[in-house]
Amino acid sequence: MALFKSNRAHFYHWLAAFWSGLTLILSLVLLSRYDLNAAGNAFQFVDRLPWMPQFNLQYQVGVDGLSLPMVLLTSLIVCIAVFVSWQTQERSRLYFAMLLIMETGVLGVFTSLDLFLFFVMWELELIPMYFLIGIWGGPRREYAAIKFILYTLLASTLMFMCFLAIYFLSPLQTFDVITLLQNQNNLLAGMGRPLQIALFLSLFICFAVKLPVVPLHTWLPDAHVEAPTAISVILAGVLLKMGAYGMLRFNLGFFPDMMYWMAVALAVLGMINILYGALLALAQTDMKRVIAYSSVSHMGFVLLGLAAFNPIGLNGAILQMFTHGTITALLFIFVGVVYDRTHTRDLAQLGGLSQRMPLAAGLFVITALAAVGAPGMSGFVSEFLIFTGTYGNSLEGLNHFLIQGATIASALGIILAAAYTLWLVRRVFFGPMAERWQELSDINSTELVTVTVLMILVFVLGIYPALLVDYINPASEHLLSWLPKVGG
Amino acid sequence: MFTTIADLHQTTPISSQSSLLLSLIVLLPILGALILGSMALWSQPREQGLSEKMLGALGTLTPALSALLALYLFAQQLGQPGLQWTANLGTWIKVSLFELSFGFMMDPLSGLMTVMITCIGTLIHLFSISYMHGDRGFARYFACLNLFLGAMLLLILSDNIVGLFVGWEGVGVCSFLLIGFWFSDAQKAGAGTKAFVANRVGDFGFLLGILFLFLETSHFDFAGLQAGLAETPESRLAVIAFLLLIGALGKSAQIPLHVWLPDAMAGPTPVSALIHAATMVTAGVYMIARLHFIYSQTPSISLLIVLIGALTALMAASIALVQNDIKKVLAYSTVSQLGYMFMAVGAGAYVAGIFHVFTHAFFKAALFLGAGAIIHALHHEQDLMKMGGLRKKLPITHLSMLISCLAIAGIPPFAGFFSKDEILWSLWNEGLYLFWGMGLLTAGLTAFYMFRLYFLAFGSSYRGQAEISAEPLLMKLPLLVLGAGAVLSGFLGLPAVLGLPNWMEHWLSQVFGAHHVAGNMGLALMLMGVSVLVASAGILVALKKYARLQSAPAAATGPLANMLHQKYGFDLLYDAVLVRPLRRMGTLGWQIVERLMIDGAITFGLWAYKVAALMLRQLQTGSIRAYGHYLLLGLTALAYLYFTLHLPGVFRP
Repeated sequence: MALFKSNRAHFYHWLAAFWSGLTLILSLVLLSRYDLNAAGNAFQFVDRLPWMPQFNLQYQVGVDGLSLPMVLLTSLIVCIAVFVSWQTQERSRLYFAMLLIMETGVLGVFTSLDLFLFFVMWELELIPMYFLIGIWGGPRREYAAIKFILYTLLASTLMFMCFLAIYFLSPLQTFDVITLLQNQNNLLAGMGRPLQIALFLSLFICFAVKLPVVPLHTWLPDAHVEAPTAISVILAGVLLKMGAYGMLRFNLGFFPDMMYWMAVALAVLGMINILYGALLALAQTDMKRVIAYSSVSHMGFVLLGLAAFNPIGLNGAILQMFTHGTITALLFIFVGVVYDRTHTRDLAQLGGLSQRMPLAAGLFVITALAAVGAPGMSGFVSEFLIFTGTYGNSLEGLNHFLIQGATIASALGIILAAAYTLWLVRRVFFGPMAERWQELSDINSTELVTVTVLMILVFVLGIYPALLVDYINPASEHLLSWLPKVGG
Repeated sequence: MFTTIADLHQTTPISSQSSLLLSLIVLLPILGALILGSMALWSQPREQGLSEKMLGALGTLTPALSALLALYLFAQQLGQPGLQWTANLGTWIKVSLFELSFGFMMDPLSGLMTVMITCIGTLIHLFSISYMHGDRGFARYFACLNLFLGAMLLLILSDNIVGLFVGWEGVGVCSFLLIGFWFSDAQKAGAGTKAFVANRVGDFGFLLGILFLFLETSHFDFAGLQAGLAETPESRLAVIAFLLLIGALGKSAQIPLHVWLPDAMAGPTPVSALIHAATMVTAGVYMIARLHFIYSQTPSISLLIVLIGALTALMAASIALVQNDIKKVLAYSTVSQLGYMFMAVGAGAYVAGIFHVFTHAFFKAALFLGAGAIIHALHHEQDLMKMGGLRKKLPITHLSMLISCLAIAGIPPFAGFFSKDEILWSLWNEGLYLFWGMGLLTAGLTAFYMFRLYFLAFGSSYRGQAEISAEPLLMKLPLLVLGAGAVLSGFLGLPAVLGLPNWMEHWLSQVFGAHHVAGNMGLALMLMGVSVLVASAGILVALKKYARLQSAPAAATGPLANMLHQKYGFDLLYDAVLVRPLRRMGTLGWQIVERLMIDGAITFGLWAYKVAALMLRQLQTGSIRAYGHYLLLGLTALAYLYFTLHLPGVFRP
């Protein structure tokens, strides 16, 4: 992108749109050619190139049923983010270049099958994000950007050390994820129990920051509030999924027995996320903060689903990752729509906007209902699967009941979610309208297109979830087959 | 005669027959909702689009078609006892061994409900065309109403409990959308939210109940559930029954989750008639009847249901005594009548409960539509004190409402008499004399407040200022049909104890099994006499107090009246005990946990880092002698490490 220079206002916009659109089409092609009948453990479309053979490093990418939905989600959300930032004029060349670099990083994270490459990609995504928040953000953007980068960098140091330790200390002596996963049994041979736990925890903390797990979440609301709309969309829609993906791929993949051992802790953390996030969402006065905390709450469901250790819960968790990506992206788009016109996100000043923006209001109500988990939309399916899974979790004895207890407490989250989401709708769009909003215009056609695309996806997956679940299921069955007691 | 019915039941085993028409009943309104919904969104910014006539016709067409299909299928069921329609739409979610298929089932129970819902739904759609004339959200209104009908039919016709739950949530969503229909009024929008959240509390219990059921039986479909629960001990069944009951309390507005229904009157009046009187709110009763195989095994929970029903019936009836808003009176009377239905299903008289659902749907829909016609004629005036003398101005409305008032008061031969008396008789028969007494008292109060409403609205002379416009044809027609229903529907369930044919009992015995009502005919006649007397007394008191009213009476005062005006303080209590503390907890969590503890710890970390840096800076003395010492120290450490650990070759190829 740096190679092109043009005076035409929207040249970079179109270029970015073309490029991200191309990525989206390629990932759709990937989806259509993905072989559903292959064994669940097989990675498909594996590309392998030696990178630094001296150090045993290689470029190796591929997808399975876990990463494919994430790849699709990423390319879709980034493509939509390009259209969401159609109004960005200031330094648009740099902006879109950053956006696309970030897309590379995220796609790299989801597809790389080499630990070192994974780490590089993980870091690659951080840098553009720092600048995107730091340059195009709100008034406290520098604070938010630094907070974001500190949290994530500290966490990823842990990850890097863990990867190095796996390389040097495991008998396999490789960064190759496929080999590591295939020889999962003797991956940890020769390591002491304390070391294993240390490795496991350092990975877990790294991903927990990204997910984010309470109490490591405080970077998220700040980053969301300061980031421009499109970046919030990507942050909530895609970046948070990297944490969950990492947990599934590495924590569960490399240390299944330890993950199993942590099941109750996972469920409790999930419960805390759900309830704490929802409670805090109730108390916010800034539109974006409400949604940021609702993200915390919704991502808690992913953790909860993980704790089930059965295919139902795990499928629900992965579906929830996808679902949350689309629905929260929609919510943030609407915040952007409102903010672009009113230049405030303060709930005390908003209200009654539906009189001037009826179409936006109608669509926002639908989105809010999707976020609440109304049936016919994808949120209902994933939440239902998670609850069914965790309630019938495959643990034994006391742990079984503890997780059931966490499930019951988490189900309270559906009440709180209804409360804060509908309260948000009411405060923004319903009620009497202040005089100063008399001149507002309704949602424009670019925004309408982005919203419609996501909304169709939400409905389609809500009515016919098999479209995605058929891809996810083999992978999750395979992930669980490593477990000591649950063997598939 | 009951033994013969039981024999009949045993000799006609249930035969299932697949029919795609069944799924059409559900899908047609949803399709209509989709079309109308996209039209509503499309035409909103432009303020144009199809004319009201077209939209209204389209909106009414789909429920009408559904009604025709339902009648067609039901007629075949009538002709062939034991026939059960099914339609399987295939797998919905399949995860490993877990498979959830989606299908519909129309047995005698759901068939009856479907016919009732589609017919009344169609009439109310017709009525709405007039009522909503000129409203900006005309298309949106019909889209929501159609969607509601689809969700309700899904709830009724689903062959598994997850489908029922989907419909259950769906009607909640539609109810939210329609209560807050006029959303530019903050209070009305708030009422929608309140209804949804209160329903969600119920859904929380319902969802847990489903999870328990699934864990217990590994089934979601009703047939599988019934078979799977045969061995389950009562204690566990009671937990399941209790959790599902929470859902029913939310949906059917029973204590302690009843607070949303009176507020729900903020929606357009036909909505109140369809959703908050005739159909959705009876879903809880339907669910309990549908899962009768659970509730008949859990006497403790059933007794709890009777208790809740009786308390709700009495409480709501007493609050209705002092309401001046015509819709609020009707709303509390709905809550109260739902209490009767709960008493019935709690006492194991499922037939009586469903029978009351059926008759109530007719007379309450007529009452609400009548109220709608009045409100329409008086240009959105809802205060009873500003009405009066409407008998001559709105003759059809008057006729229909008079019949319905008589029906709800329990005067023979109107519909409410038969169904209410069936419930009271069942309570007496079960030995629940206390609850029978509460039911009787409620009946007296009901007769009084309904005729208070009647005389305030129609009696005496007009007290308001607004001009009265005439009732349009599209309003008269549904009012007449429903009024006729309020007379005739009672004859479907004549008291069997008097030796009269009870079709309702006969028909539903296919589902619930034969229910032997052994009883003393004389006693039954006497009890009926008592209840008619009590009702008449209520009417007479109302006649005396309100029939010749010239000016608005002063509002009642005193501690009792205050308590009634405060609706027994439920709203205040919830606000003080739940809503505000939750908010405060959120704020506390944000300000203290978030700002102070987490971010504070991080700030402290940064500060400690800076302090450490400052201290380390002291080492940089500039003195070569000191640096020499550091160097030596470092070298020694490195050498020690090298010799002891034999550092493995990092760059080994």
